[in-house]
Amino acid sequence: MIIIDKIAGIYSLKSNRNKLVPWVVIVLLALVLLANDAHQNTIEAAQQVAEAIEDQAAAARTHVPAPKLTAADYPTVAGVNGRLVVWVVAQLHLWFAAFVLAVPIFVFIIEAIGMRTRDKRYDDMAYEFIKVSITAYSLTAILGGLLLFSLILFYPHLFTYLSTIFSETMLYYALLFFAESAVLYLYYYGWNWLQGGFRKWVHLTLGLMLNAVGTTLMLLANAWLTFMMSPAGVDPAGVFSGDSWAAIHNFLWNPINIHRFVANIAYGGSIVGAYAAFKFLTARNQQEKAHYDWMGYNANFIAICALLPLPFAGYYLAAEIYAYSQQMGITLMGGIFAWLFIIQAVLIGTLFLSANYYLWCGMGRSDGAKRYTKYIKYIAIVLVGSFLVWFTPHTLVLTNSELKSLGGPHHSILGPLGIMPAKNTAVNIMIIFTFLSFLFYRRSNKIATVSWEKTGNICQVALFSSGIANILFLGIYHGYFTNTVYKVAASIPQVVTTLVVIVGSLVLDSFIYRKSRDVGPLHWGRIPERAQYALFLLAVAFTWLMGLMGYIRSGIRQHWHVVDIMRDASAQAFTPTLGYAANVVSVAALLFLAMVIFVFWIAQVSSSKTLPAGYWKE
Amino acid sequence: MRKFVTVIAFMVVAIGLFAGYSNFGIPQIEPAPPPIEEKIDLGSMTMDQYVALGERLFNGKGTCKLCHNSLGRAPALDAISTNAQERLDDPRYEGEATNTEEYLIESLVSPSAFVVAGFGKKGTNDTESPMPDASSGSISFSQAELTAVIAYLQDNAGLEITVEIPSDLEPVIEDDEDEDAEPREAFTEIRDIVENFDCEACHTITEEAGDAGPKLSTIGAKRDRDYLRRALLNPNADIAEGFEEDLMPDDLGQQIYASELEILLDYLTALK
Amino acid sequence: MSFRTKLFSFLGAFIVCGVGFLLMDIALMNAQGLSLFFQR
Repeated sequence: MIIIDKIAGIYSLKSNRNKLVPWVVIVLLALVLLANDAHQNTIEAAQQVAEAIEDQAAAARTHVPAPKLTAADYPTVAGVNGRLVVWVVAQLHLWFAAFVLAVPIFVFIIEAIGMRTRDKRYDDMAYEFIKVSITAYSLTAILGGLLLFSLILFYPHLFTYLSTIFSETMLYYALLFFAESAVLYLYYYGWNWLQGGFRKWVHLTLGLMLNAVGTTLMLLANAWLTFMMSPAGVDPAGVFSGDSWAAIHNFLWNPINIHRFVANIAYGGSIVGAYAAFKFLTARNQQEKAHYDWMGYNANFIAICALLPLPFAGYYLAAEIYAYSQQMGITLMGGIFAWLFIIQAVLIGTLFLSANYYLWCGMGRSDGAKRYTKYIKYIAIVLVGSFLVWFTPHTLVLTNSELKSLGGPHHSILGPLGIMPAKNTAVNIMIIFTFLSFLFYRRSNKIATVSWEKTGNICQVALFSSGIANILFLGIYHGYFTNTVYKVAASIPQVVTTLVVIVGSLVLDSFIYRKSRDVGPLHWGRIPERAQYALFLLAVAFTWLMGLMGYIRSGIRQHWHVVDIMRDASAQAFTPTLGYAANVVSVAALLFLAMVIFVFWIAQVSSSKTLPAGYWKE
Repeated sequence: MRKFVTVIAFMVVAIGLFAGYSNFGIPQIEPAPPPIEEKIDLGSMTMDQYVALGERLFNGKGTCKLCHNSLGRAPALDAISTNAQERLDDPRYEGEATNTEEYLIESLVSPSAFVVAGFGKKGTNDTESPMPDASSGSISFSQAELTAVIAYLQDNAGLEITVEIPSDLEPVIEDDEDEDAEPREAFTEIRDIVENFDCEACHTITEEAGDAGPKLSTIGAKRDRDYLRRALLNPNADIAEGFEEDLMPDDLGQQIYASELEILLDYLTALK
Repeated sequence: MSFRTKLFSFLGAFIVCGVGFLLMDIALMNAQGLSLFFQR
């Protein structure tokens, strides 16, 4: 029975199955139809999705206006002053970046000089320079990351807005950064490997690539910050047009690029100079002393070469700021920042005086320098005199009623650009006399052999004195007897005169000293220790000055994140006083110098070895 | 090691000197705080108050006075009564304005519509004005503010005020505090008081400044405390020779605190 | 070289350079649409 039941069961199942078949077919058919339908639906849905994506993309293409923020939009993190953090971190990042970008520029040049002259000392020096910058490179990256974090943390909306505009460049920046690291490591670690003949050329090419990538990185970063000063590629509400190039190539991009490029070289030179000075002071023997004296001299030379055109790059930048926005220009030169230029004058005066002092001390390396030492005191007098003219504040606004006082007549001496003819004259004369110091230094170890040496000298004296006379004439006549337009215009022939004097006398000098003979061998290392402190002062003054000028560059935006487009609504939107800014810069500079000393120390450690007797198994 | 310490000490001293000079060698100027965005009530305003608002905008938020002043960076605006018509008649004029009011509005919102000879951007042969559009950018005047400035300009030039106070209560952004704002802290420094009340817009007090009002740099020698108090609180009671009536605001008494008034009087009476 | 020769050759060179600079001033002021001596 059980079996029958089983069979019946099977049968019934079977019959059930048979009954099921049409159902299954129907269901399957239905499913197929449904699936077909669903497929239709999916296509439609996909189309819808695609359209939606398209819409989104279109929305993304049209972009959003800059957000209008309130104080509540700025996160407070553990009561920390966000602006202060971003300020200090950005400044530290900038100092290291300037140093790291500048060093490969002159390392490339020095390496090329070494290849040309086949003087190995150049190659060794270039290698030592790049070694110093390699630790600084990772610090730059760390600080860059820190800056990114602090921006996202304290200014999320600004960062979001900027990244909608610069998303593409940020991507390229990241990629370039990888390329930069790769090339730098190849360049540094491959230095001893890529030596001789073709290999050396490969190495030099790597150096060129390193500079190309590094400079591009700087240009991209500059675009972000100049966009905040002179936004382009956006409408008045801040809606991005989608044209990245327009946003990058904004009005102040190139002026900042030029100014930073030149300043970076000067700055890099001064930091490396400080390194050499430090090594000179701690040198154990005469040979090391000679080496680091020579290195310090070259670093100082680089710094001064870049320093001389720097005022002109700065002038161009200021003029372009004024051309971009009259209001911004007046804020720059007229209001409270007018006093900043007095501080700047003190700092640049310090730079010039210490650079000159170093040159004068350096003349002791030559036995022939005695012929020129009697002139040095006059150069010193002129320099100090020009310096005093430069920072005499009598032409400046002495009141704090910013707007009102700007409307007052006592401001009339200060032209719209703050082009103070007396100061311009003083700067040009300072530059000429610094150049004269350099010329004496160049001559100190040489004896001319050409027959017309005396006549040549007389021509040089005439060139200098007529140039100075012309600068004085332009400064005095146009400074005191004509209107503002002429005062501004007259500064151009003044500058050109300075350049003509420099170039002209260099050309003349190279002819006079053709086939000259040396007084004797140069005694590298024969320089007083105090001269090394001039190198330190140069580095410190450069660092501090860069920080100060960073404050004004950023400060002329006033209460705007992006000028006229995105307002800074945070509690920290106010412009701090100069004293406060100077204190922030000082603290940041101390932090920076501490890190730099660490970098120098690390460079030293890497080359020292300890032999632990009895530690390792024999 | 000794040298190491010397180098560090040298750097610290150098930075200390730079910081010291920046803190103590030059005057510490407190920059003006960013303008505060506040709403004011247009509905209850008289034309005089509206003109006064225009003047504040002209001197403050509009930053007009940076250039439209006696230095001649931009055309003077006190002669618009005659100038505006001359410019409309100028053959070079290609704008759309037909009367002074329209011309002024046009000049404010599209400054390059007509550039007065000699005031154009360098190199543009007077076709482009260096002035920004006052209705956008960093100035961003609202319609009501633009009209207020026009009212002030017309009033200032002795013209009949043709504009009307907008009736729809469009928000006006102004950087001066109004009555709704929290009471401010009383100033204790003379400098702050002089600045807050813009005395030097018209008066010369310590250095060369405005000349629309009597020079005050030696006023203490001529006038006593009571006279000065009256002159401050009720300026039209006694007009100094050669100056016009109604120039000085007569609502100082409502704005200044008693403690500030005394400080101001102490200061002025001591100017001899 | 006598003092007289020195002085005269200096003056000669000074005048040549000076005139050169003056011409350069005039050119550079003209390039900016201004005149060196005469204000417009």
